[in-house]
Amino acid sequence: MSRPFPALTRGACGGRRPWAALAILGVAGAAAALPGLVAPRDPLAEDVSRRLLAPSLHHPFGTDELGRDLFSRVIHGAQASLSTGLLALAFAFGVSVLIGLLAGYLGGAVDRALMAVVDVLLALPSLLISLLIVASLGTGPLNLAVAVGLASVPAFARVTRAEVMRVSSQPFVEAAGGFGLARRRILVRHVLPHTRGPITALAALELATIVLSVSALSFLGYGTRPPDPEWGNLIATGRDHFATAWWLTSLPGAVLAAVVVALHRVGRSPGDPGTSLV
Amino acid sequence: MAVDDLSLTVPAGCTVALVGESGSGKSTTLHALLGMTPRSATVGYRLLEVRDHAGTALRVDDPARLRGRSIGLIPQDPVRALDPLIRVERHFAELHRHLLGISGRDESRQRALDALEAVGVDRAPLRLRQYPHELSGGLRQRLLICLALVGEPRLLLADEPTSNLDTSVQRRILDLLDHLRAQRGLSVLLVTHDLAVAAERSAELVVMRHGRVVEAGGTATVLGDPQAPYTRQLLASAPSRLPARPVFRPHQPPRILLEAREVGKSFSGGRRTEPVHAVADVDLQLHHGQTVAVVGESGAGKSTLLRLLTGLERADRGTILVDGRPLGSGRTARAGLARRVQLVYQNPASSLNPALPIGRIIAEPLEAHRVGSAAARSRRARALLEQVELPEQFALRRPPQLSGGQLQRVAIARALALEPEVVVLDEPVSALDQVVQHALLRLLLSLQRRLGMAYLLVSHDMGVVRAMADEALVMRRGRVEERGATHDVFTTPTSPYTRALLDAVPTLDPVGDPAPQEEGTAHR
Repeated sequence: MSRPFPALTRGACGGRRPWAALAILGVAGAAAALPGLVAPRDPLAEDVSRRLLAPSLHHPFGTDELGRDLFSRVIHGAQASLSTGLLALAFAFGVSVLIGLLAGYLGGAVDRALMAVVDVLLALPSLLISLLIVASLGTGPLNLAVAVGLASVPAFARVTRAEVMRVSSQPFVEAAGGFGLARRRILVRHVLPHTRGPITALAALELATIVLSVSALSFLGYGTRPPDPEWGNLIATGRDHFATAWWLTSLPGAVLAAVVVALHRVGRSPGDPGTSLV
Repeated sequence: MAVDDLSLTVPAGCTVALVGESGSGKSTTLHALLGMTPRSATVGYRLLEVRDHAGTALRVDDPARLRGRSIGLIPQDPVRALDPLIRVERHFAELHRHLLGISGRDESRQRALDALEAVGVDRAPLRLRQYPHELSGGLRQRLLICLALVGEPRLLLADEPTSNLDTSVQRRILDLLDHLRAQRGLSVLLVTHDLAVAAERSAELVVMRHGRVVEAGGTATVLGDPQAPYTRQLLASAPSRLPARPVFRPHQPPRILLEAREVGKSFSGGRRTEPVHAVADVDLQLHHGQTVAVVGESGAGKSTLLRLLTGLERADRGTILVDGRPLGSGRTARAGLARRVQLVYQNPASSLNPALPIGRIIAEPLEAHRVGSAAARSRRARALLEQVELPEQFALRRPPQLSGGQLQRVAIARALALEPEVVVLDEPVSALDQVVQHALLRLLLSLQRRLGMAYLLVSHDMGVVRAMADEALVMRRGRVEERGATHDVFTTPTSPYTRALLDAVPTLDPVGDPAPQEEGTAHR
């Protein structure tokens, strides 16, 4: 049996490492970590004589309505987008692994109560949750991270719970209880390490969603405010000149799309064969 | 290379047994004969021939074309070989359409009914409406035999057809295969790891190891006068060849370590169904240094009894006494029980954490009970490895790097770490190859001699019980059917159930059926 689209399905069904996607993420990560080194110019330096220039060798992404270099602004924007995204992921990861672990291992009433909360979160549209939180707590990187991260909690918690249940039913977990190991140690040593694979794969997929959500909030005006650059607000401000300067929305949008697709690609690729259970 | 340079001939109307340990290439051979090897495999034949009724040899180029019509396969695992979402009737209908071109529902149904009745399935019309999970293991195996026979093949390939079944069911299934073979003039290629099954049922025997044929010939000849060293080793390691446990009747029985008094446990199946009495009114006494075996078919309540006695489940009724004191609940009681009673699971591959090094696994019970310093614990782990006859360097390896027999030794070492007085063995060798089983049983016996702990053994293998146990407890439907000294239970069973159980055990005395004719030849 041969697969119909080998190039598309290769990542999901094993095979090569996603080098192209990893390269995109590497560049984006470097830009976010050290924007001053990567960017050719100051992202805030205005030059009215060079307004709305089309992409050229001098300005690879062109310039905006105040003559700022768009390429430098996109690179500096990576910092705001990705660092907020990672913070949100860390928050979501921490909260939901705790929820999933307790629900999956203790079961019973604890499980039902926690899953009821998770189901309510799951029922609400994630952007609505984020907007509610940002609207009530105010903007700022930390609030933004909590707002976006909370929307990712349900999926994470559900997967963690399922994984914990699967691993807990293994005889070696029962055996550990049988020779008198304390529950907390059983969880940390025997259950948690074996849930790693699926959860890390999900983390990459969720990070893609999170980066998109962070940009969406900025686009709506709830994230980083101009003049500080961020991918979402770059796209938003560029809309005013869409008819004359296509690059202002299209190029930051393309960068955002490339990063999101690359994260998906990495999330779908098989993990280390050594980490899987039995 | 899974199978190398194998030549095999199955005479007409005859059973040929293919025997060998796991990984010896038995199943690969069957799959190659049917052209069912994975894409990554390369299969080469020098000659593959099938003879027709007249005896003319027909050369076969594509083995896949033999499937169903010339060769029927009875797969290994009756649970996984049937689609759980498809009723029995449709399993038949698909094959009828594919192999016989029958698409009429009534005709297909009539054929299926006849076929089921021919293999001794009761209430056949009901069975057709059922899903595979509603059938017992024996019924499923009968159904698979039926399905293999739909295309009226002349050769049946039976891949470990009874290794997941109880001995008495195994006997009935093998009887059925013999009956069908005689009645329809079939040839059977029987793959098995059980030398006794091969000895009882086959006329010719092929012994395989590491993908090669070690020895082949008439079953009686091979077993009567084995030439290859591996065949001799295989014969010597048969459970029935282990010396029976010497009768031990001291004037004053040693103190009782573990006792169950009228213990019972029920599971409710649902609102409408009657609760299932998994264990009912079982009494059991385990004396110091003694071995008690619990015997019975699957579903007899052996495992539940064992889980009750090790505190993994709580009994509904009755009391369990450890060293004369009732088994309490709560953490301290559990920890106290763990120091006295330890459990060795059936499958070592799943009862050891695959991510931890062996040394840590063995030392973990000590760590849980805060015994000694880290260095002392690691020294003790190495000493325990030595006790179970494994090299010290294994302490740094991880479970996936060890074989099944080695892993079970590690599990035993871990059980011994806290120096318990009772070690509970849940089918400790049934997942292992015969030669490995033999070595492990000897190890368990010598450990008991040296360290003096008591064993509570659960097993379905009568040979293992005879060699290991002082006392046997035969369970049936949650109740004790018979109990007594092992020797007495084996020689003069009082209950007809026990007698049937003992009779069903295949023995190594070969019965050949002579006058084989050439039917199909395969050279590779």
